[in-house]
Order: sequence, then C-alpha cells, then structure tokens
Amino acid sequence: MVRQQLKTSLRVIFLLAALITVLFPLVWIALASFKTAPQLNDPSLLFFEPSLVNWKFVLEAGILQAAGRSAFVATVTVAISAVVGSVAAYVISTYKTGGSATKFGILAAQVLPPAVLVFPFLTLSYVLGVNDTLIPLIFAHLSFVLPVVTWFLIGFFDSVPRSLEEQARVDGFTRFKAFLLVVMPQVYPGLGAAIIFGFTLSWNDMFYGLILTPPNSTILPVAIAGFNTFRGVELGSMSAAILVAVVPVVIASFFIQKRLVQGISGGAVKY
Amino acid sequence: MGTVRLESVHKAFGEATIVDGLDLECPDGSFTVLVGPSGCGKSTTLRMIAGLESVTSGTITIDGTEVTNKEPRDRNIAMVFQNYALYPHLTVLENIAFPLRATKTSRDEARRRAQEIADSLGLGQLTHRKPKELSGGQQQRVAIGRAIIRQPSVFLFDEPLSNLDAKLRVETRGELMAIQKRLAITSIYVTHDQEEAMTMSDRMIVMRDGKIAQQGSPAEVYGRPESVFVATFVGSPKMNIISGVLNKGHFASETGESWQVETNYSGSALLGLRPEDLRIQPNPSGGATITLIELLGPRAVVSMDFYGNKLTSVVASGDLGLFSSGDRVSIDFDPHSAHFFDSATEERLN
Repeated sequence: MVRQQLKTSLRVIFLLAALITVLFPLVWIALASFKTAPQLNDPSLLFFEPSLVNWKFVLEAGILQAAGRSAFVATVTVAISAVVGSVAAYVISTYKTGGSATKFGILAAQVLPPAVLVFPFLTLSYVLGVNDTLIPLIFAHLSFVLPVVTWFLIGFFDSVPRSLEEQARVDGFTRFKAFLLVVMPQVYPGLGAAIIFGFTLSWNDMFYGLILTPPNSTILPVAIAGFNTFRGVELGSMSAAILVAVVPVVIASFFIQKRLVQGISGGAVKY
Repeated sequence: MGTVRLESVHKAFGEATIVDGLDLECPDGSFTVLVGPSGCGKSTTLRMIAGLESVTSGTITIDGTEVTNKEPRDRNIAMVFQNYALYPHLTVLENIAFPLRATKTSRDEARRRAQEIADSLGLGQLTHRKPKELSGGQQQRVAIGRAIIRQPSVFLFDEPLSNLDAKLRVETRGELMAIQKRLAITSIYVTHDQEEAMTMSDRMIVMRDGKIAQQGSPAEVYGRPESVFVATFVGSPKMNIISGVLNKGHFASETGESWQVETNYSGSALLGLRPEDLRIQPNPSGGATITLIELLGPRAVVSMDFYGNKLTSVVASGDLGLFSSGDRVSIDFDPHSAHFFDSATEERLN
C-alpha cells in the first residue's frame, strides 16, 4: 500500500519535472515577448506591466507575411506529398517494389546533409528562371517531406487487408476506384498524421529557406533569425516572433501524438 | 444466370504449377463445392474464376462469354471472402449498397434495395452499425447481402464459414443453402472441410495437387471413391485401409486374416472400409485391440490397433456395454461394403 503510494508520488514528481523542463522555455519566451528592453535584463522578473512594443515591432517587420509564406510553402509541399506519397506508399506496400530495401532506401536522402542538395537546387532555379519565387523552396522541401510521408504511410497500407481491394474490384470497381473508395479511407488517420508531420517539417526548416528564398520575401524561420542583428539579439522581438512559429506546431503535435507513434512503429493499426 | 466452364486451365507461379489443366463445368443454378487439402489449388481456381488471379493458359467462360482476361468487374460475379472483407469505414447499409455505386443506380433506389436485403437477412435493426460492432455471424450475413444485391450470374465463396464457431457454422451453412436455392444462382464454394462439402454441394469436386481427383454428387464421391486419396479425405472418421492380397474371392490381410469378398481381381490390393461398415465382435483371440472409445451421443467411435494399423469403427451407443478399452475384438464386414484399390496406383479396382 505504502509502496504503491510511493511509486505513484515518484511518478508524479518525475512527470512534473519533465513538464517544467518542456514548458519553462515556452513560458519564458512568452513573458519575454511582453517585456521592454530594460525589463529583459532581469530574467527573474515575473510580475511586470506587459508592453506590446515587441509585438508592434514584429508585426511591422512583416512577421505575419513571413508566416503566410511559410504556411503557403508548407501547404503546397504537403499537398503534393500527400498525393504522391499515398500512391507511392500503396505501390511499395502492395507490390513490394524494389524489395525490402525500398522502404529504407527512400529515407536514405535524409542521411545527406541539406548542404549537398542546396547548390543544385539554387543552380536549377536560376536555369529555370524561378529564382525569385518560392518554387525552388517547395521543391527543396519536397526532397525531405515526400520521403518521410511515403515512409510513414507504408506501414498504414501494410495493415489494410488485400481482400478489401479485391472485394471492391469484384463489386464492380476499377483498380483505381477500389484504391480511392476502399483502400484510402482505411489509411486516412495515418494520412492525417503524415500531413501534419510533413507540415511541421516544412514549417520548421530554416536552412533551405535561408538560401533559396528571395531576400525580400523570406519565410518565418529566416525572419526570426533576422532579429539577430549587428546590434545584438533583439530578444523581445525575437521572442514574439518565435511564439508565432511555435504555437501552430505545438497545437498540431498535440493532435497527432498518438498516430505519430503508430506511424513510427510501423503502422500497427487495427482496421 | 450463368454456367461456368473452365477448359484446360493452368496456373503457374514461376516454376511451381498450382493448377494443372483443369476442366470443369458448373451448370446454371448448381452448387459446386471445391474441396481438398490446403495447397491443392482450390482457392487459386476460385480466384481465377473471379479474375483476381491471371490464367497461365486455358479459358474460362461464364454464361457463354469468354472472360479469361477480363477484369473482375466485367464478369458479373459476387464473392464472399474468408474474412468477409467488409468495408470498415461504411455502415451495414452502405456496405450492402456499395456494389450499386459502381452502377448507375440512384442513391434512393440503392438504399431501398439494401434495406430490403438487410431486412430479409435479419439485419434490419443493425443497418446503421459499423462492421466491427457486429458479431461474426452478422458480419457474414452482411457479406452475403452485399453479394446478393448485385444480382450476379455467379456466387463465389472462399471458405466463408471458417471464421465462425462450430455451432454458428452449422446454422449459417443452412441459411446459405436456403438463400442459394431461393435465388438459384450458380455457386462455387471453396472449403477444406469435407463435411461442409458433403452437406452443401450438388456437385462435389475433390482436388489434389492442382488436378481434379474426383467429381460427382456427394453420395457418389462418398459411396464410390475412385482412389485411396478421395476415400480417406472424404468421410469422418476416415476410411480404414488394410493392405493385403486378393485371390479367388478372398481377401487376405498381410497379417494373415482372411475374409470372403465379392470381386474377381487377383493380386495385391488395399481394402477400404468405412468405419460404419466395419463390424466388431468381442473375441479374446481377435486380431484387434480396442485403444479408445469416444461417445458421440447416439453413436460411438471405437478406435483399435490392428497389427500396428489404426482402425476405427462406428457402433451404436447401445452396444457399448460389450466393449471396453483394452479388449480384443475380431473384425468383419459385409462384402458389399468393401472398397478395393490397387496397391501400387491406389486407384479403385471394384
């Protein structure tokens, strides 16, 4: 009895410690975004009169526009990845295309540092005359989002019984219709998770954004880094900008946490 | 309505031949059961008829139209899979109505027909449920409902009862037969269970190694098996086989016992006796020793050791008082009931 209580309390203490570790930086950033420059010099200051000066500055600096561009790039990237990734994952799962090596082969590109790919992307964008648009960035993001989405979905397709598709074909549908009407709905939960996961990958990328976006229309992570100026880090403004970037991701992660584990553990989902 | 005809159909996966020159005809409205041990090619045959498996050579015709290379959807068939393959994301009603989405049936018409079928199958109250909220027997009926709604030329069943428990299996068997008789749709049914094959079929096709071992009515196959394989595969408990020599109307077992029989063949042979045809008498100097007695209600199965050979006999439970485990018995049979097979080819002799 006492042992049980001790165990429970230890568990609670551990969880609280973990929670504080994760939340503390967020809370600190949130507070900092409402502090004026002098107040920022006192990190222990918990109660102060909040000021909107940082937020005003950040909004005037075009942080929302940068966030909009990030959202646009992430949305297009994920939309393409969802369509191409679903079909690819289905084929790899059903026909074992390329054998078992494929499943891991698709992730091989992830091993390369992005620096290896960024130069070809940049050169190509000049050759094709799209260097002042967001197109090169979308393709660069596809290079890592698409494989991850595909890999993530293979496990989900693996768990769909083959007979479902065969049944639909006997029931009078073409292969494609059977895939669309019967197989796809079984992987929707996985697809939803893959979409959110892919979105955050694109949303968080800074490296490609730094090099491939035109200087006057940059994306959110690059804009945030921009607050590290030659006069030093604009801590207050940067905090406000970071919050803009973090909040959507935290909300998204909350919704996909369960599916994320399923996807990573090979899609062991009961249909 | 449709007659299904297979002509010298072959199926090979790489080097391995699964179905080897199958000729088969299922007349319009018949209930044909393909039965055999696992790996005999029965499921592959069914899947070729469905169009889910390509045919290596040969032709398949349904209702006079060649369908060998046609897509499943162009064959006007319905199929019930072993795991029912109900669409998990759809309700019972939507599952039953689903095949109509492939046709130009209006939504209202589809719902009305699906509801009618659901009612006729006793699923009327469950139409809004998802498949996982149903019992095995109910899922089975949804699968049948979905097969019926298409009004197909041919029903194909791939071991549809094997996921049900024994009691439900017998009930569903009856329901399935009643539905088939009512609709009079040509049905081809695959099972590894010889008892299911015997009770359900008009025509029973026993397969082995991709070939037909024997076909005919269940009574024919049971009463006149053409080989030792069919003789021992069909019937439960299985047929007793005793090896020996036939000579001038006598059969002498290798162990020295001799019986009078009605056949003129001479030479070494295998004697086949159905357990219900094998009579036993308590006899202290008999050749067989009782090893086990299993009571099955009105009848009992008596297992015996006969010079290292296991024999079984079915006796009336009322006679059980005469026997107990360890007793010696002599064995005997009516000469009419004996089956003889060639020792070498295992083909039927009489």
